[in-house]
Amino acid sequence: MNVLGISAFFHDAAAALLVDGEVVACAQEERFSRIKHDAALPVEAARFCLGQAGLTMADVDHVVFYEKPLRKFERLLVTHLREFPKGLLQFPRAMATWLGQRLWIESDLCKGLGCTREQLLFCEHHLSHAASAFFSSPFERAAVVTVDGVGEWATTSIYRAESSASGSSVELLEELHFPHSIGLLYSALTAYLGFEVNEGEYKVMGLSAYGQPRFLEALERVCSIGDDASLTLDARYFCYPRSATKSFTPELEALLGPARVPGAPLSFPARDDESQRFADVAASLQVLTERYMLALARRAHALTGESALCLAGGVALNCVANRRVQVEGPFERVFVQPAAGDAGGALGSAQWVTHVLGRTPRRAPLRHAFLGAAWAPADIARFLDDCGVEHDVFTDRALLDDEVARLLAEQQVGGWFQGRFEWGPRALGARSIIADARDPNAQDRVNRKIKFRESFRPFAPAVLADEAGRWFELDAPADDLLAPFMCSVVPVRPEVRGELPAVTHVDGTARVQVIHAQDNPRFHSLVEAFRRRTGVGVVLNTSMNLKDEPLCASPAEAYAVFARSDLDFLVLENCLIRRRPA
Amino acid sequence: MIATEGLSRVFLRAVAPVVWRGAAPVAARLEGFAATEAGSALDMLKAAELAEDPLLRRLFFRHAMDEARHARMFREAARALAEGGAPAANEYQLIHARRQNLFAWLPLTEFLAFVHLAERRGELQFQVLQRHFQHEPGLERLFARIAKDERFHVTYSGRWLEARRREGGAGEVRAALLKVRARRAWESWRRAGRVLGDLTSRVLLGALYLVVLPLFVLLARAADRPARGWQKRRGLEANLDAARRLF
Repeated sequence: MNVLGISAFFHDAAAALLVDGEVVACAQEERFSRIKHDAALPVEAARFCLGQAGLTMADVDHVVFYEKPLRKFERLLVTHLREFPKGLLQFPRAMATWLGQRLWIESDLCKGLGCTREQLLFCEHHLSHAASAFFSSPFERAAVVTVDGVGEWATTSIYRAESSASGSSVELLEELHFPHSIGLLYSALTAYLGFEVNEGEYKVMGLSAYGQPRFLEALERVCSIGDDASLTLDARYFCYPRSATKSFTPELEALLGPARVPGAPLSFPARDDESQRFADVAASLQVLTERYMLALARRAHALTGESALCLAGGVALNCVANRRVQVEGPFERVFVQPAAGDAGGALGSAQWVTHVLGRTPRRAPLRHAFLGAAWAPADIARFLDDCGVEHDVFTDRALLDDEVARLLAEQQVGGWFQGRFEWGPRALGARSIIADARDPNAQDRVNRKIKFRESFRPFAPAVLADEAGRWFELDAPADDLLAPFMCSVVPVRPEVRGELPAVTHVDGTARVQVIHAQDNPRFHSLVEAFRRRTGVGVVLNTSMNLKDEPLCASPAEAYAVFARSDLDFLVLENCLIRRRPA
Repeated sequence: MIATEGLSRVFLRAVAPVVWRGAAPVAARLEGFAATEAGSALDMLKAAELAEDPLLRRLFFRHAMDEARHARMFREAARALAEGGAPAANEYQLIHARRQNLFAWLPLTEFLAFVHLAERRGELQFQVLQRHFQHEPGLERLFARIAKDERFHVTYSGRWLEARRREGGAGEVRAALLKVRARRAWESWRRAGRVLGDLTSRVLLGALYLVVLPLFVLLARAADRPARGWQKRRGLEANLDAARRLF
């Protein structure tokens, strides 16, 4: 059974292909279009997925869209009726989008993807998220919690999922409805803090470490959490139901102080009261989010009695909250699908049709995220030759690893491009910028001169599995599921924090990636070479892109990053390009 | 052709003092140029990746790197003018609007015809702006530098088209140039139509909102019970028939 999952038309459009239950390929459209968070119909991503399996659209049994469009339209209409007449400016804009495009989604999908109406299916938004988390996990039964801004109506859902030889099920137990949403609260405060919604949430999480939660009480007036983990937002503080451009009202500014102007300087350690106030707002929001996620986990446990939990939805990308759920929550094990945001809906919808409707048995759980496109080393060498780019070709990979380890140990910063690109927002060693985690200047240098991003943002460490305990307070085996996908933030051991300045955040934590040789052999081999040379099996690992750009997919895009930044070297498969002295 | 260019030059010179005045509008326009160049860099990079001919590959690649550098130069100039103010628009919205990915769907001759004409237009515009900003050395240097690069792009694409003509493809080249010009005119018309259509639909939908919606508002408010707290949904189906529904 061949099933193609599609997510599109909001943000992070993606395609995912399952062949007889096996995940063959997944990719976000942004990797092909080079438009960050591209929401357009993922024509290129779908083409790639089919090509990877050697299939055409005629071979596909079902094409599944990740939400029910008419239910979403219903929510839009009802919201406008409730808000009348405040939505005068937003209504024509929203209706024009729906009447011009989204209501005709069946024909758009057929025309864009080349499929027929008979092939098309639709899966609910949160069900897509839930399926993506459960069917990618190693669990045979689990509670599933999905939390994001909003799907059709649901903003938060609790499911019970199980699979056995006789079939699989994902059963909805209960859900919270729009506008009561922790995801929308997080987005509104992301905008309040001067960052772009659906892009700046990571920045808010990074910023929170510099602050104290002194606005927690104020935020509790905005958002109340019930004893049953239900959540209610006070509508006076938000205008997202009636405005596409602004999500918070002057009342929120009266409560927390004036909003930050986008682009206004933020400096840490704080040199001005305003920077500190914004960090304190971020810290308060983070504490509230963590408390809520913990409350949700307890609710899900009480409802299901399961020992395992799967998390999905955009809020499940909050690694600090994930860690608290894992350590303080009632579940023995927690799994987060690496593309937990809307892109993951493509995978989940395809998995739901395959395993629940199609009764195709589950295959092995997702152990790595390398599901994107790859380029042959010979093609890369030819491309570099044709373009006149000087490079060395290493036929012996061990020699390449040794040379790169030497460059890193000399505190050079480089790009590392190997194999198929990653599924999800994190670079996990296929399209990475790497540096020596011991280098005290690396964080500032990579932020300012290479990625051109805010100086307060931390970088993640990638550590060899057998050395993880030496540096980080990991909680094996619970951390075994989150750490390979960089889905959890853990404390760096206090006694070694000074040794890893480039990857230790201001609060002494790190969003660690644990590398296993069997799942990520190329990256493991490089870090192993670095350990042989330095005695430290940890490198700084961040995504190969510049500020506000999507992660690189192709060798040319990787070279474009190299050419436009201060990277010292770039490895494209077995080709090494060094920066020539100016 | 020369007459058309002459007219364009006269037009650009005439409008420059009106359009290119005041720090904030100039900064916004430079940001617009930056986004166009960045989008063009992506297109040329894709062309370099997909092209088979090694020489073209090298030229497209250099062209892409030039465009990326121009984008950066324009952006830096815009930010310097805006004195630390926020960018005028989301960079990716701008790139999205200008990205064309032409190499993937145009025949090679048509693609090079497009490059040739677009770069010639760019060169002309930047030469006019260089002259316009002759008393502002920073901006004058910026436009002079970029116009020089555009000349290189005009030259290589022109030479390739000329070689194609000499190989017996004169008709093909002529047709390609015509098609590119026609497409440009058609796209301008469509853009104008889109703006007009958008405006009309907003006015009509706004009127609908004010005239028709109030009736439903009264009904909806009488019946509406906004959901608070946990909701349970019964009768959910997990079968193909239910999955075929859009609701």
